[in-house]
Amino acid sequence: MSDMKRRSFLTGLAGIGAAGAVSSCAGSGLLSQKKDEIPKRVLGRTGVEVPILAFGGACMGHAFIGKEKAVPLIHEAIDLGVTYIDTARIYDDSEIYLGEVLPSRRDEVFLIEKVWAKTYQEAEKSFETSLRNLKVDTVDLLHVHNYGAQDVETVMGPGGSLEFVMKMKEQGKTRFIGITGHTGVDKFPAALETGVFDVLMVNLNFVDRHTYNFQDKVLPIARKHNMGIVAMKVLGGRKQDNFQGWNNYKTPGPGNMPPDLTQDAIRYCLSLEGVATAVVGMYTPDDLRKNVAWAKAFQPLNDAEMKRMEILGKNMAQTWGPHLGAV
Amino acid sequence: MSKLKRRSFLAGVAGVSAAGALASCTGAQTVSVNQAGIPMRVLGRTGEKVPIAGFGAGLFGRIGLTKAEGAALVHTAIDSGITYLDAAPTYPNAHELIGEVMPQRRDEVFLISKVRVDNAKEAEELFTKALKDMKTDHVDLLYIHNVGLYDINKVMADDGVYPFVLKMKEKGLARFAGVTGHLNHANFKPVVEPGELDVMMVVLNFAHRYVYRFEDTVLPMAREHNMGIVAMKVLSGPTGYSKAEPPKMPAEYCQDAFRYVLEIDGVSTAVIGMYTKEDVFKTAQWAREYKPMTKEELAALEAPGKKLAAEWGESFGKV
Repeated sequence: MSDMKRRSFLTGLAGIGAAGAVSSCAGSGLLSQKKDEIPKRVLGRTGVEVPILAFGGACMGHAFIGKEKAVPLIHEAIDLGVTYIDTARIYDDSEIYLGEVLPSRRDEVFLIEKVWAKTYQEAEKSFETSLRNLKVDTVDLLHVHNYGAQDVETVMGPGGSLEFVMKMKEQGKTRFIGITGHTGVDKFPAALETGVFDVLMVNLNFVDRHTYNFQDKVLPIARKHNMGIVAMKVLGGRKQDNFQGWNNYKTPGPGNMPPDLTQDAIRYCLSLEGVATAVVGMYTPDDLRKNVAWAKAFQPLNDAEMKRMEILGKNMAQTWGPHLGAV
Repeated sequence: MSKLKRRSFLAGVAGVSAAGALASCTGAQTVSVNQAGIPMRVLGRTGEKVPIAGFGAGLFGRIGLTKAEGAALVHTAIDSGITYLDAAPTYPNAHELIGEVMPQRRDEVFLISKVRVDNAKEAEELFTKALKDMKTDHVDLLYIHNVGLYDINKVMADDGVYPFVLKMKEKGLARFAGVTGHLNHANFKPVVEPGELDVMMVVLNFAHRYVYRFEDTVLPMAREHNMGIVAMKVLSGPTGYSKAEPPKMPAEYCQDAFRYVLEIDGVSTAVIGMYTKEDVFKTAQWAREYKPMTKEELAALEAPGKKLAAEWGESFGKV
């Protein structure tokens, strides 16, 4: 992180008192918005200001869009202020693409990595590979990935992957640690109550709310610990195998947000108390620019709109069901 | 959404019987919603679930969209839950544009074509080309197109179009067979009475009900055979058929025109002409927020319906 960036980061920290006041009523309160910039929010107790729109690397990675498309896309995202970059070891080529950009722009981004591992050793191996791919020395946030699908006793126990993640924070290899989940909602309260996690990233969309309901079951605990809250599967998280534009559309099914509802889906999760940013998967410059325009124009859903999403979500959930895996 | 609307919409999806009580007559029952939140109804004896809004490709195929534009719109419609695709050889580019998408998404849609001829020979040529252009090996529904235009004896003859569509069904090239019509009610009885056709699509809107009256004369026959019933010309169609233009239905009545046809006993889906993304989004929203009409709302359409009927007259040919 450059001196200048560090200074502004410190300013951000210094302002936590004020920001904290905002976040106590709604961590989602907008902290600042300069004209024609993406609004920013404080990511809970990390004190870091992040843009409300975050770059999800899973899509481009799983789709193998290729460096020639990915590199300009990542550069443009950063140029447009989408500086929260979310990736993981298991996102196929995502780290490889980011590794082409990060060495020259590391100080401009808030970089996320994840370990999907049972043991300390597995986590260590995974993270070493990630850093090598990303061509960086440190990340800003390291998550225990998909905790809901893990064997809790192993992960949280002695020699488990959490021990490794905490060690990385101690060693300064990551500034913060977090926990993510798609399923296994009931495993989260106890994990969050340990108080070790700075950030929570879970699926938050107006349809899956009626199936998984992290919103009501887990977010209150995250808020209690002043964790940063990050929304994922914002557009449903439909899996698109080898997605390359429209030419490789292979897996019809639940989890596909209708295009006329995508903007409201993003607005929905950003209207939930405590949510700082929405991670949206992006494949193309058009996706990126459209999402950026929406982020700049963001307004929380009003009561009537929220009610509409409630009804719509309940109906659509009948068809989507537990499409991300058993609740 | 108003409080009233919200209540009725919930009833429309969750409690069909309650919703039915609101209107004097009701469409086919809403049985579920699809992944895009659009209510689904059973298409009569086909047993297929279809969204209450269908993609009408009439103008879409006539206004010179490029393949990329056409494909993007079809993707948008499917993604928006409008998975019922109504095409015909007389919509010049419709089949080809839809064909841009079918190789990837054929199993997500209910695909329709039609043959507007009276004899099997020409029908076969049209249908062979339709399958080729749409890049598929079968359609879900093949219609005798505008049966009122023809000498019914030719239609029903051994080498007529009636046996042809049934033969296509038998061969599995069309899963179901049906008939469409804009006019000439007398021609419907012979094709419907044998009880072999599965679906009927006719002109239905709250103005032309006073001109063509399919509601009174033809639909009872369809219901008797538990045919699926599909509404077309719901917004009365475009003024002409060559350039991009809005439907004749005044904008302030469009959403209620859509709701009106879904009140008609046995109607499963309303085919709406679409050629822009906005058309798709608007229709998807009408469908998601569809609620049955009250008696008062239906009554309120009578005066404007009669006025428009007087203006439009026999738009689709002599009754």
